[in-house]
Amino acid sequence: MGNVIKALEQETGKTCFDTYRRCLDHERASLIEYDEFSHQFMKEQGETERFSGVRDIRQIAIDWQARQPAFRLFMDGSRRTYKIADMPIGSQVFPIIAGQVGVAVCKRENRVLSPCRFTLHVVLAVPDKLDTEGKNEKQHRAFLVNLAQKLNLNQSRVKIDAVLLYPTRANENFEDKGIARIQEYMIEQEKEMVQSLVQAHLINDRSWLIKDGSLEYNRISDQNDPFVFNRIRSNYKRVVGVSKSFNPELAKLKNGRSAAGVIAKLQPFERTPAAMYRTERVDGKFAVWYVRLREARKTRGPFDGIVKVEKILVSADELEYGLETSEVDNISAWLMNERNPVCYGKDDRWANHLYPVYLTETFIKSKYRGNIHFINLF
Amino acid sequence: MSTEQGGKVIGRVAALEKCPTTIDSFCFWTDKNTLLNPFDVVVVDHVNGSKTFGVVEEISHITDSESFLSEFFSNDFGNIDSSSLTDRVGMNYVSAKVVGNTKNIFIPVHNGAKVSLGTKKDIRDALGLNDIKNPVVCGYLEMYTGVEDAKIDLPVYVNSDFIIGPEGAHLNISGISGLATKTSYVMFLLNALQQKSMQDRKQKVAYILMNVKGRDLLSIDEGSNKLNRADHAMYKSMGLGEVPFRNVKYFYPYGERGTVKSYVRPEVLERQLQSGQGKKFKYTFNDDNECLDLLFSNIEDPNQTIESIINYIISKQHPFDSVDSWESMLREVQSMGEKGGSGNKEISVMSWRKFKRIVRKSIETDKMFNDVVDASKNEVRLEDEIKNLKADDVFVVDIAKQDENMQAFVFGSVMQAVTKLKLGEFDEDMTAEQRANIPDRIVIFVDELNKYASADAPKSSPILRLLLDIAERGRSLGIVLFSAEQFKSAIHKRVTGNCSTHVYGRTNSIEVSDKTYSFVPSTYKNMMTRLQQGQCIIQNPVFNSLLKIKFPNPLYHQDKGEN
Repeated sequence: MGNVIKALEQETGKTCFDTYRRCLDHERASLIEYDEFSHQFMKEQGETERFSGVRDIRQIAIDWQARQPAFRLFMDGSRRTYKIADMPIGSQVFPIIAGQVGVAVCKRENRVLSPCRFTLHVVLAVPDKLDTEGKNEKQHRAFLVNLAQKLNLNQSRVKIDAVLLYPTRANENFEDKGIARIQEYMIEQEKEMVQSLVQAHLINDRSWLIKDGSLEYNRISDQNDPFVFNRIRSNYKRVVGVSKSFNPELAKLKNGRSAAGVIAKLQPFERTPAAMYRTERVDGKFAVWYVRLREARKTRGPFDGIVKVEKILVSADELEYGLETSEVDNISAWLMNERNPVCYGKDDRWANHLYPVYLTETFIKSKYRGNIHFINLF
Repeated sequence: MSTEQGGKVIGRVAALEKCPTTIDSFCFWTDKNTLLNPFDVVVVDHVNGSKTFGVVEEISHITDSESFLSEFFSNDFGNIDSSSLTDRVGMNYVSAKVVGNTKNIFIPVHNGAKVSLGTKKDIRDALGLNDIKNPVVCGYLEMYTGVEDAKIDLPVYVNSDFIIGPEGAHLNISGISGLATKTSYVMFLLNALQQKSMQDRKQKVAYILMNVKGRDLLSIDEGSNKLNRADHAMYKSMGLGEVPFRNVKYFYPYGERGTVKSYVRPEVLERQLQSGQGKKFKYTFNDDNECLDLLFSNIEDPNQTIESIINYIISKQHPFDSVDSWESMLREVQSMGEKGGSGNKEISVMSWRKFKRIVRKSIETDKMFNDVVDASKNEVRLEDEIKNLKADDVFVVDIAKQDENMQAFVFGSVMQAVTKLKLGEFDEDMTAEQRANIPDRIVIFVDELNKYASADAPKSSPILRLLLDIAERGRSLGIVLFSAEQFKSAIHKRVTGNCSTHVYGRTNSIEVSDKTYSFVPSTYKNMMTRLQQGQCIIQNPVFNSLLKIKFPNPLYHQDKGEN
């Protein structure tokens, strides 16, 4: 019994080139931006109360300190990608990208964080040129499931949980495409995780979930897809997306001016008004606002210490009028109360990090197989 | 959760790149609220179904906080009133020393192996407390005191052959004074030894105790009224009878006009004298002149002139051929030191004068140098009494009230007499029955060993010579030294090095920083500075590790009152 590449060669009838196998995350670190706004999203009001300037939520945060925190679940998804081979198809050469995709949820009970749910999948991204016969999503899926089964049958070193196809349009970097496909897979896993938490009643009024990063999920055109937005929207009633990094220049005020100045001048315990956001690329409507967790002078730059908060608008009222201002205030206050402790020294983004999220991220990373070990499984 | 063998699982082994498990040691993580203590035994599941035993040496608590700054930042940049909703992730990691494996497998334990608390049997196996031959109880072990429902108490037995010979001999105990550890522990152990030897009659053991402080050991045949409930329970658990020492005799230095030079209470002395337990000892010139050198134990004698003078006197060279008393000896010494006196060619007049100054101070002022021994007045010579030492006898020789030189003299003379007895030098004067009664083992206990075997003692010191002889040859001769001192580092290495058993009571941090303690892990060193009354750390070849043990209050009456 050989390795995965041999099995893939056997199945596809192609012969792969020997490639310098390596982890791609360092060289292509900036590939995926969570914040991909291209829309002047602060124009439209996203909360019920209209106010100008910023809003101080210090007293609300202090009041909440005496009560049980609402955020009890913390989710993070993460992936590592590796180039393991190059496969010639026709006159072109395509990379074979392997990935480790982890999604973890930690729960907090009595101030102590412990793992709640965890999945770790090994995936393989291959060029779509391998499945020229598939005419639609369903056929592609069948091909991929079949290929994964064959790969697992013909080798026993590593169990491949999924094989993915990445698109191969000319003049594009195929490695980036492979990584992007693995990233999408991770997002699917996150959605599935949220769904399972809702089904298990772990997410409820008293137990909200913070998801690390944006909640923007790319539009899914296939209405049969289990994760099509309308099917999963209700899962996100008690889920808040918190992004550590964002591009403030993309937030524009009504008059077209950048909102970056307003965001940068936020003081601790202050938040911006929530804006409503909607784009063609992404399903659904969101309320988006910014909260400053820490003083700017104690951090590296003006945007350090500020997090971008997103919440999917679920009910008809929300879609129409935005979130209740009191809810935006409360969520902001809860986040303020999550500001300590910090992971200073462990993570450069410490000023924007929420400690439970950081721990969840650390938990996933602790579960990954070592890079050299993983690369050599193929 | 517990392993198949029954101990509660408390963590798992962590073998790291920077901190691998080795043949000798391993680390494991455990919950930060698991209250382990140094010296606790842990059990690790190992290969081939074996179990590796470890003894906890160090416990560290860590969080994911990178630096103090991180902690400062985590409190809103130094706000002491700030609060957080989440505790930092923290855990304890414990480093343990490997002390054994059930199948003698000593490859390092594996990462992730379960670590559990031990059962009583595990603890005995781990520490070498199982299948002890000639067991004599030497203390009481408490383990897992901080873990709910897991506390284990067990008496600790040691093979007496490794304490009083023939396998190993001599015990040394160190620790600062006033914490009821050194003397109390030795007396506890001697009591246990006496009870055992009187019970099984395998070896004939006798004991000579030097009382160097107050009235500490002057009522050891009287029962104690200070035992509490815990003491009773401990004695019962250890299988010891609550009886004080038996067959005890007390020897007091003869004092002015028939009195004794001692702190003993008059009523106690009276009772002891009447019952024949108490005796007053003297040194006569005719019988004890060979002990003269012991008066010079702390005096440098680089040219060996003092030694020459002593030999001159002992060999009865003129004019000492006609000397038969301390008084006449002093007279002749005086004449030898006089200007133009009879002197002799090898020894200068100045040396005789020096000798005279030292010897006169002792012999003239101390009344135990007396040439008449009247048995009817309970007067004895120590050497004669030691000749008659029998199995299970306990002799207490009181030297507490004497000055340092006299203490050394008496102690030296006791060692000399015991050595002669065991070497058979008295055999000619003894009957066959007396010879048959000579104990197999004679245990000598002396406190303040630093006065006699200091690392700085003159090399020519006759007491040091005697002590080294006992330390090095005593095991085979059957002379066992139980010694105590405040600071072990100050004791001659050849004395401590020959001890098979070492006991450590509470000491100070300067002492433990000495290289004498370099083999002791730092946590244990720090524990030595925190030991409480009734606790000590013991080291013996039969134990696989140092043991922290407890012992009960002594069974005899400790007279600690003011004079």
